[in-house]
Amino acid sequence: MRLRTGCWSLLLIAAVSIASSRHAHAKTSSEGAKPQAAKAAAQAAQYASVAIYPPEITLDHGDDYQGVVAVATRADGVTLDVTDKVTWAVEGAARLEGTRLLPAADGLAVLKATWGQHSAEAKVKIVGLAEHPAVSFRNDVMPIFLRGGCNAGGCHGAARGKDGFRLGLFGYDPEGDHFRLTREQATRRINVALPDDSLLLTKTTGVVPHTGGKKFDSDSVYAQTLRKWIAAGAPNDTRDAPASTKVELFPPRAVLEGEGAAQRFIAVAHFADGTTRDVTNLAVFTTNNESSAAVDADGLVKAGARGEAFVMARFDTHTVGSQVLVLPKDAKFTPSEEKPVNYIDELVGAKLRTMRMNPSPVCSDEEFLRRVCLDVTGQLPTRDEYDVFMIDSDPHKRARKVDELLERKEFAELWAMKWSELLMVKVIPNRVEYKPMFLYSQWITRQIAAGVPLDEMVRSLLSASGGSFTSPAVNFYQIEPTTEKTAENVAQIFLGMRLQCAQCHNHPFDRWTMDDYYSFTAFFAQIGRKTGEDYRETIIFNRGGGETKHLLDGRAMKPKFLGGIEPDTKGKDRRAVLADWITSPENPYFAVNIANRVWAHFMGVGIVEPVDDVRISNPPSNPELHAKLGTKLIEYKYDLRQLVRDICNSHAYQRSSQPNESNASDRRNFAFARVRRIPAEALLDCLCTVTGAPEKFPGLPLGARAVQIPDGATSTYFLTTFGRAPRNTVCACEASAEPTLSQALHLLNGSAVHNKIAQGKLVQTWLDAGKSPAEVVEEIYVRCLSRKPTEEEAAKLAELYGDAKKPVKELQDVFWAVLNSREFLFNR
Amino acid sequence: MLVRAALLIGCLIAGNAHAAGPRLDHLSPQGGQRGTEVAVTLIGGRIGQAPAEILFYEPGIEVKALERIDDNQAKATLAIAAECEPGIHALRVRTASGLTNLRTFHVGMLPEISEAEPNNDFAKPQAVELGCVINGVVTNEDVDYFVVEAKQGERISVEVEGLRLGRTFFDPAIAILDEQRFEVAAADDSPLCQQDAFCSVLAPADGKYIIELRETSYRGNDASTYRLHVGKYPRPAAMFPGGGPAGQPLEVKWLGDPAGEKSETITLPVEARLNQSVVMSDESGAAPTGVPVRVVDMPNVLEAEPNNKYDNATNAELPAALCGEIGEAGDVDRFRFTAKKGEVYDFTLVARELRSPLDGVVRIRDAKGKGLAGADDNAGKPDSYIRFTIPADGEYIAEVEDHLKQGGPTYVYRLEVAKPRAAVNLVLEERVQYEATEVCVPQGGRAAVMVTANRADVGGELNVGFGELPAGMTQEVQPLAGDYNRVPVLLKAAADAPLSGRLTTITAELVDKSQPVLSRFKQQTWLVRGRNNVPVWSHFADRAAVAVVEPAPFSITVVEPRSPIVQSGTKELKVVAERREGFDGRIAVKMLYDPPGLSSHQGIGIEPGKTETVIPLTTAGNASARDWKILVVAEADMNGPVRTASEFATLKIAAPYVALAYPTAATEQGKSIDYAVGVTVNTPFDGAAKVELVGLPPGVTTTPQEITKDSTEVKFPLAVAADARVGHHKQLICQVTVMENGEPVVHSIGAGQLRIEAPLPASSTAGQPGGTGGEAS
Repeated sequence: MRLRTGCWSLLLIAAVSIASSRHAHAKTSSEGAKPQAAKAAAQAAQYASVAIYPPEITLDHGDDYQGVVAVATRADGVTLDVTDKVTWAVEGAARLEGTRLLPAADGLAVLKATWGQHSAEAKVKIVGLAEHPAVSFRNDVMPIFLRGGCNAGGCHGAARGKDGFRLGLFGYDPEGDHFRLTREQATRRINVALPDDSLLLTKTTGVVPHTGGKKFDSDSVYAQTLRKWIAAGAPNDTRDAPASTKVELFPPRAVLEGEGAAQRFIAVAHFADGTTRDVTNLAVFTTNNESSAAVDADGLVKAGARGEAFVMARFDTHTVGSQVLVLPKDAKFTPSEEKPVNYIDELVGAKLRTMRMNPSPVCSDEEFLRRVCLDVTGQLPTRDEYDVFMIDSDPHKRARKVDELLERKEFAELWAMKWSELLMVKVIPNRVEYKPMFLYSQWITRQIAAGVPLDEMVRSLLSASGGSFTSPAVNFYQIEPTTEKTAENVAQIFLGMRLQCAQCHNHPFDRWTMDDYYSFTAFFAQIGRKTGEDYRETIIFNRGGGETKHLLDGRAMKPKFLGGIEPDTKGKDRRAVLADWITSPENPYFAVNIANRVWAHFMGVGIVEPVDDVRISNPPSNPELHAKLGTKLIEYKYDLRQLVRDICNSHAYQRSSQPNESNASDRRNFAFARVRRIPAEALLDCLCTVTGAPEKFPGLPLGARAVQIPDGATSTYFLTTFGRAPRNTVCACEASAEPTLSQALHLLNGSAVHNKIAQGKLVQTWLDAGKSPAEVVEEIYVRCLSRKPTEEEAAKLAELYGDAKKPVKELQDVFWAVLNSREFLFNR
Repeated sequence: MLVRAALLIGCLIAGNAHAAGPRLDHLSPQGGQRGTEVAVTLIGGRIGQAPAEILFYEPGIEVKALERIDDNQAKATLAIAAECEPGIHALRVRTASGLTNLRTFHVGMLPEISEAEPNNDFAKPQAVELGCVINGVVTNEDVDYFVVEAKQGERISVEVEGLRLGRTFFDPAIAILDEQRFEVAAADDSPLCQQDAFCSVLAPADGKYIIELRETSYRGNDASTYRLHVGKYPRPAAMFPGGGPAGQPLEVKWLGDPAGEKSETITLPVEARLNQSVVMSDESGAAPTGVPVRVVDMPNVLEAEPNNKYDNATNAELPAALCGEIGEAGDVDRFRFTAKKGEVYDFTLVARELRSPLDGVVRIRDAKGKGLAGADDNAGKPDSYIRFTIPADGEYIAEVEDHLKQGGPTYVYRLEVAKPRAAVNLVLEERVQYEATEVCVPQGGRAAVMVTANRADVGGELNVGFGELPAGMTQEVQPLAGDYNRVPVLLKAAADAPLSGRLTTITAELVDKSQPVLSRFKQQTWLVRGRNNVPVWSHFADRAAVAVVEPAPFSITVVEPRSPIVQSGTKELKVVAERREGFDGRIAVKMLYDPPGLSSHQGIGIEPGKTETVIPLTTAGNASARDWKILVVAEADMNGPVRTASEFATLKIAAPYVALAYPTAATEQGKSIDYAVGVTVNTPFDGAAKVELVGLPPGVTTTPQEITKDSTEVKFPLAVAADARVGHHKQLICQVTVMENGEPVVHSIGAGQLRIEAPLPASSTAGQPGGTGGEAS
């Protein structure tokens, strides 16, 4: 909207008189239905408030209009679409036709909705009533192609078009689209003299056969627009038309109760010239959860199964969304009482309450110990550690344990490995030699071990110059040598964004355009590389020259922050400028992205998931928590350990993995602990530790752990089978924890478990040391599962070895069985 | 009895007759302390078979004894002079039948000891004196620890020779740790010694210091041997200025030693060697290796800081070596000089060549600072070079800075500015890839090598040849034409020339002696190569090794052609061998080199029982038409390669005697035609020349024709079969054989074209020839 609230009081004084004198008729008639009104009032009484959307309206020309909705909200957050229930009234220079507000005169107006005791107002401004703008190709015609799916990848948006006609995918190339429509085939597609003979119209309205079928009626608003545009000479305004600057979707949030509940959504576009426009009939509506909240082409959402969804509208290059929660009707829900440990519990709890779920209780000490050791250090607790922890009666022992684990080197090594996965640390023949790779890996480990703040580490990485031996961080630019991919990787690793699509067309599910892509790429356009004196070393430096060219028109693109400004890079290393922006506390993406990655490591799933696919159409499951974790990380000066401490100390982390009745359907709200397969490297390390049979990896001494392998190109059958990240891309999806059949077979039949038990000779050692078979069983259980066998288990196993004094074989079988159990393989 | 005698003779032949191509794989130990005598085992194929001499490239080591241990090992007793220069001493071993490849022996200053495993536990290091050279090896994942004791303020210097031993791609890293495991100093690569490293510190307190040595990424192997110099010696990282005029005293500053800068006056040698270096010494000892030094014939101009602005640039008069240090990050050094329009200067930055960490960028500006020329890196090396022609009389500024805008007290450089000078860079071409060529001339025999002479600012015919040769050896040199850069050199040894060897240089001079030419001979020995055979550690020598060896069991003669080979022609070069009695092995023969445009067959041999063969030669159409001095070299495997060479022969490459004009002919299957080719005789010849048309498609035949010097056309009757291949055949070639002096002069002249079409099918309607049924062609 063009005007800020501050101006309203002034304008209103002038407007009221006009409104009252000339538009008294605008009051809608709802008299004469008294019993209904009483019923409505009774219903209204259950609700706490009513709101009108859009809350501020501008009508910019004589043909402009704006649809409106009214939404009532109950004290418990449930919303109801009351557009048809409220009594509408307009005071001032506008009039209402159904739920559409139309201009009546230049000036101001107030739109009022009344429902029982609730009422709401929206301010309306009307300008340019006398104006009737011509049809714009850019802002009227192009959106029809998007809405109609004409420029989708399966249709004319395909790289080679469809049936001889091509449009830029999702409208990335308006100039080209205009050319192809008007020039490519003379008067065939557009016939200015006889607009109705234009293929553009005859095809879309089904007058002539069209592979894509009839898209709309010939008297539809879309056909009218096209016809008007053609009749006007099919003008090209791709350069002059005001660009859309943002799109809003109303209402911003809906909590629907019961299947079948519906909510209308309205999309409003804002343009660079300050005008706004109702684009509900031009926007493309989508939902990310069809079964909970399906949305139709006109923005009507219908509630389905219990759950949450994100309903989105796309117009031009903008995608916006609103959260829609669907709750069961009249479900009985009594929030459980639990004192939150910290902000995490408060925010997780708040979301769960909205979802009418109760969290599972906090897990046992045994479960906690195993979980936290695996998560923080990638190792199982030792027998001694287990004993000490279990007899400790200090109520703060869990927090103490977390602190203790965070100081271990294994913590640094685990996170160094995770960073190495993202940064693709590995040997690449003829590009990255072993030595620079090794030094890079060491550099990363040292950064984490020394507690270097993450922002500082990322700044060092991004602005690194020098030789790949002396400044190992420059390997970041050596592992990926192309400018475009480097930019994509930076966006994905540090900002959690996937820009790849925008290299060739505007991002279909996000706001990023090709301009954004190439402007961002320009930060990496001036990287120079030369081979050092030792051929294994590459020197990365700032060339101080070089530009990226836009794919479509070859324009040299100025460096521009994603969603930000064009900074002054003159005489500076562009990468350093970018690094400062990325790591500045004001950056809206960096801290939350890192925090979310940390969260996902400990919780098994990110608040945004996948963690490196942040986009409007993939919103956080708990936006408040997502933002808060980022804020906290900044507050902690990017200290990874402090954030981990917060997470591990929260009840949200320490929950039992058993769901309860209310939260069984939860997937993304952290109502109970997620059971996760132990990652490949940690699993192999655990297997080696519990069996006392260390592994030998090439280039590392005997006993070195899999987590320490510096080279992503080094792997073993075990690690590959269990999903070690091959470090080919920066995608967080590379390390896989998916269970597969070959994993099970490898453990059951393969050499890993059996040989290790035999090699480690632990059973013999224990028996020789005088342990009874029952004690050996306990030892095995505690080592592998961090718990003692239950009485039932102990009794069953006792049958196996009977009275034998040294039942080595039998106990080795027990060992084997435990190691093959799901309880061992999973972190629960 | 008879059998035994025969066996014995067999043994004698095998053991005694020849064991050529001795190899030197490595020496054990690889070094010794100067002023001592060291027994060194020389290990390598056939080296123990009659070892005769060790040729050292640098002075200071005397061979007291050299004896056989077994076929593949010999023992040398070396007396290292007390004043012998420390560091690398390259050597080759001469046996009765050949010269080995080049290896290096390393002279140290301190007593030698050996590593004693196990020493890979920090807690249990090997105790050593602060003043020794440890000879050891870093195997895979190995870490070696040594402990020394030092008093507070005492210098602890550690330098490792690993890669520089030239055995394998070993990249050592060292560290000095205190007892609490804190790093006092650490180094992986030191610019001064490339992948090797040194560190030097003043002990912060009395106590024990642990020296850690490992491969930088734990990837050693059994050949990763090292010499670790541990002592109190000074270890500067650079010297300033890094050189000066020959034979003059030079006041230098030693930089980078932990005890601080130190000045000293040294005297530069009158004639500098290729790897000239200077060693710093003080009361605590001398550095184990030197710092490179430049000896040139131009004065030094030392920078006067501050000189980072245009108006405070240091003034210099050319020619000069502008010497400075990029003392801190961001520093720029500027020099101001006056020059006249048209003068040409070479601006050669010498920094990394002196092992300075500087990766220098050089720029030339006018007096106001406007950039006129600039350079970063040259010939794949970080040192920059600009040739600059002065555009107008006036003042100019030369500027040096670091490529990454880094700097530091050891970032020294010399920007040598001089007028171009006529020079020839000479390289002895490799016979075997990656192997520096040595020259072994059999008694009474010959050897031939190729020399590449790359001219710098000099044109015209050159004489290229070896310097002083062993007694009884002579060379035959052909002048090198002004438009070519490769020249063969033939060396001959008299039958009674004593078995001996020497290191000698190769020089070039203008045949017309119109101006002096600087000869720069340099021979690279690729000691260690990396991935894709990238050179990692090489030795550069300014002399080549030449020896007279035992006679070869054969000799060869090339039969000089009596007629030329024409461009686009072929010829067979006859080679005849004379076998010594008892030798019947295969003799591989090939041209020593192919003149441009000519290619000779590389896989020809004189087979056992035979005494002659021919080497097929072909020429391209643009082969250089002139008389070429050619040589044929021969090699036989006599328990190692034995090589010899023919005498020079003249091969004339001539323009084709005839030119042909081909028509494009067309016919139908089954329809024979005459194919007439126009003939122009450019070089008249006697008698008739045979002309064969080849390259005809299947189904087309013809007969050879003849032409004489007066012919203007040659006509081939083409018999075209009914099933001749349809199509457009574009590769018809005439082979013209002219006989001259009883030898054929074979031309291959292309290319004619012949189109063969399928006849139109008979019309479906009788009596309507050319009916409508046919497919359009």
